[in-house]
Amino acid sequence: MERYSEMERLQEQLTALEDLLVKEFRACQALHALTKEERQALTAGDTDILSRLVEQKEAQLDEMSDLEGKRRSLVQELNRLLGLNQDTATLTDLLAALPVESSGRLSRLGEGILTLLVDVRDLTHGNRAIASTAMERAEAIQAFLLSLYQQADRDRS
Amino acid sequence: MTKNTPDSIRYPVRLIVPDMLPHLVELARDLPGLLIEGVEEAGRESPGERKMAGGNPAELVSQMVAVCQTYEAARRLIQSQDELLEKTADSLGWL
Repeated sequence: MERYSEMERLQEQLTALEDLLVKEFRACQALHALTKEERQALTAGDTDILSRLVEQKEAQLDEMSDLEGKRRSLVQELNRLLGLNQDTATLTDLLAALPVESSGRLSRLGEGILTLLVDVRDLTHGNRAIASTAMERAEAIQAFLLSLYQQADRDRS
Repeated sequence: MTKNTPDSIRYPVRLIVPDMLPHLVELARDLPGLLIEGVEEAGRESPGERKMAGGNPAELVSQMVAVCQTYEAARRLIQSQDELLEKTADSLGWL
């Protein structure tokens, strides 16, 4: 009876993990779209759009962080039910311990998330470089404008 | 050399720049006044266009401050994003 309950619990948690991975996949897709938009705004120097994107991305990153935390906890719980090491629990470790019929779909979801993450990371690195350069340029223009008005004030006095 | 020889060959840079220097100095001296004059002209336009032209000198500077703040916020968020991506990939276990 106890073993049946454990089996039932295991299946419940696997279903919950699949649902969570689907949500995480969709969240990654949304972040991917926002990061691409951010690239366009940075390239165009459009700070109005960039400002809007910063707000949207903040909310999206909060959601992803929350999902990542829940997934981590769920994987730890599943590893406990399977008698695996919980401290170093990754999704890959868990999938390796499951029968293929249980792990196949989860594995595909995980790989889909990873593919998106790699692409987003590449975009993020590029966007960081563009944003840094744009900020240096804006600061230089700001300093130049200030120096002009300070010079004009000195000339008037 | 003939009359068709390009100026860049007939007049080496070291001869051109000194000739331009007085004009550059004049421009640098007059730029503040030109900017003010420019935004006063722009003041006759619609509010939206006036905003784009700067409105007044203090507005130009405050617009640049807002631009810098936007880029700084974007840069900080990009850094947070990078850290989260690293953490997520790590917990997935494929990297």
